[in-house]
Amino acid sequence: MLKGVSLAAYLAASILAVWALYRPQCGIWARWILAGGWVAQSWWLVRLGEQVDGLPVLTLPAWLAVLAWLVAGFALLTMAYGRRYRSMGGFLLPVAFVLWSIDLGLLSRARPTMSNLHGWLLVHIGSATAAVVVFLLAAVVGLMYTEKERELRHKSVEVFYYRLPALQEMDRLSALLAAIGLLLWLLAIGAGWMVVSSSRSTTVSLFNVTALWALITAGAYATYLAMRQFGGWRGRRAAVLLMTLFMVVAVNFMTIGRL
Amino acid sequence: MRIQVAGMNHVTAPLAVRERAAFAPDRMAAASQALLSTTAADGVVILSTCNRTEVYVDGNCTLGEILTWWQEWTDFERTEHADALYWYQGDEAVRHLFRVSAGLDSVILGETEILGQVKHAYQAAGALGTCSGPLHRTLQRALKAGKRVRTETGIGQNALSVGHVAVELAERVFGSLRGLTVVVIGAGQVAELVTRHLHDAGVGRIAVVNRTLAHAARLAERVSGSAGTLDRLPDWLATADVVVSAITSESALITRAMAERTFGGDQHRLRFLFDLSVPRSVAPDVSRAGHEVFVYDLDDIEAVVARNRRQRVHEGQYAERIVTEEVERLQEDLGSLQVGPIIQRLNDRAEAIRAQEMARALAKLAPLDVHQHEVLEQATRLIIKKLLNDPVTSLRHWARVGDQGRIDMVQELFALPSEAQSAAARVKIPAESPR
Repeated sequence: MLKGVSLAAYLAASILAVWALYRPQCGIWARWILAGGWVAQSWWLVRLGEQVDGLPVLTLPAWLAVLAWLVAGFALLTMAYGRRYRSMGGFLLPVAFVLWSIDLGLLSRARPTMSNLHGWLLVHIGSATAAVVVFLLAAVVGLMYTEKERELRHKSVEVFYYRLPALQEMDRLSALLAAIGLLLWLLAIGAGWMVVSSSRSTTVSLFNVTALWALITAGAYATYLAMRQFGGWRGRRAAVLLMTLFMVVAVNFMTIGRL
Repeated sequence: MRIQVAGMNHVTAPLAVRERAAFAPDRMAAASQALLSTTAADGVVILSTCNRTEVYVDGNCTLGEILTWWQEWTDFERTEHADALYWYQGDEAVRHLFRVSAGLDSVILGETEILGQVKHAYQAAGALGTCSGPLHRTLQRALKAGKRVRTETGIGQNALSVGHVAVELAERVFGSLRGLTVVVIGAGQVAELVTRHLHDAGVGRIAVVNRTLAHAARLAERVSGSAGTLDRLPDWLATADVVVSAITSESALITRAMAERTFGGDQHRLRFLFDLSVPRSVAPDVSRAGHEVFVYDLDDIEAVVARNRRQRVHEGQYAERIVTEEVERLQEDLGSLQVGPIIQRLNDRAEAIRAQEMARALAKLAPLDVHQHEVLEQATRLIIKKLLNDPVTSLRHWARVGDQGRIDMVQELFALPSEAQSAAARVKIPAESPR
């Protein structure tokens, strides 16, 4: 019931938030509906947490649910308080909806796994989740940049010209987010290394595909930041690169992370 | 509603007529007092701006009387300029005022100056004592409607002139203009206008480059900028985030080759070039000199102006809705104001009957304790309240829709005393005490 309510609310809020790019007055409705859906999903997560006796993040479906919840929560924050970034909800909410609907399909086949998070494992999963959210935000800001830049380049100002923040502002914000995301990601890698090295299990190796892919991700973001700092990369190319890099993160979590 | 407005604006009257019909500021007070003393008007507010002269009148005053008075106090000829006039009464007059406050009736849709002018007219009438109660409420609500339109819609946003659009585009690309370097090429009227807008918008550094250094220096001095000549144009361009070119030139001053040489070191830097010259002084392919170089010529800027105008018209639809909402709210306010005393008399009459019958009943009963007395009081009051609920609701509704006939009927039906009788009766009702 709660899952259905939140999914329907996210769908309705997504449509309204996108529509609000054209008719800002719809944003108020989007906000209220999203708030309702978010509360419903929060309640559902609390109940799931009670079932697994801790944070429900140990399985991919449960983790995706938390990710969708975080993205929707952030969209709610920007729509309620982020004056210049209010339109970001129109970009973030469809992502939250897609994540949540994919997840509902996965959840139907999954069984709850008892959560036993503590110490470095908690830091590892917490910082990795936060890093993914921040990388996603950076990619979304990058997407917003490319859309507004496209309108300006084609000299056909329509929607994004009016609704989105200044290009330079978005460019700087996306770089800042990428830097924060990288720090969190490195923290997650370090914590993961501590988890594995302190584990007595012989089946877990420090050098597996997941670890390698995590290092590639970190390297890619570090290269992006270095290119900005030393190669003068800005604007559209940097934004497109950020969106591409997020695909690296997504691949990591959806495929390699499950190996 | 007895409010009416007679007036003329930029649509109905040319400037030659408007200036004759305008009230001189120093005669406004005497004119307002004269209207109140010579007609049955209870209140008057004169709104006189360069685009309109409007007289808002409350009371039983005819249009003929208003026009005669207007003719006496200005050079306005009622027979000659009758076609330039409009006259609205009641809700139409209120709606007109609200639209004016919201900037929906202005030359530039959504302009903000008019709200201040309406406020000034209201304050002036308030200071003179010519603003009646209904006019007070109407003007207050009109100002509220104007503010709501500005905060809840984007009608006042988006520039409508080439100079302002240049600034707006720069802001939408760079955000804050404080840290930017702007190079203005030319020192003519257009260059000066845009430079002034950019300076007002807070641009950090402005450099004026011109063929004649003296002209450039004169303009640069006004905006605390620096000046230079065209022979060092590439050097100036290398430092620029925004370039405004408004200079007469037979061929392009900024070519792609020059831009590539100049911008080559920093290919990814955002640069915006506005070419306001005819013929164009920036080659169109300069936009390919870097990854983030934008070139906007006059046509492109005009297209943005047109789009902004459409955007304002679109926002105007929401503004009209707000105006309608506020008119309805005012109708409710004024309705309650009108029937408030009648409802009070109705309640007083019912209370008098209740108190009388209570006293009679209590005299027949054995002495009651405080609690029993209180219960009886509450029960009888509740009966009265419930009985009167529907008539009161209907009264408020009839006041809203202006159905005076039914309001009078209610007064007759309940044989309500006049206000004075009611006040006297209220004094006579003895305070009851539990026995």
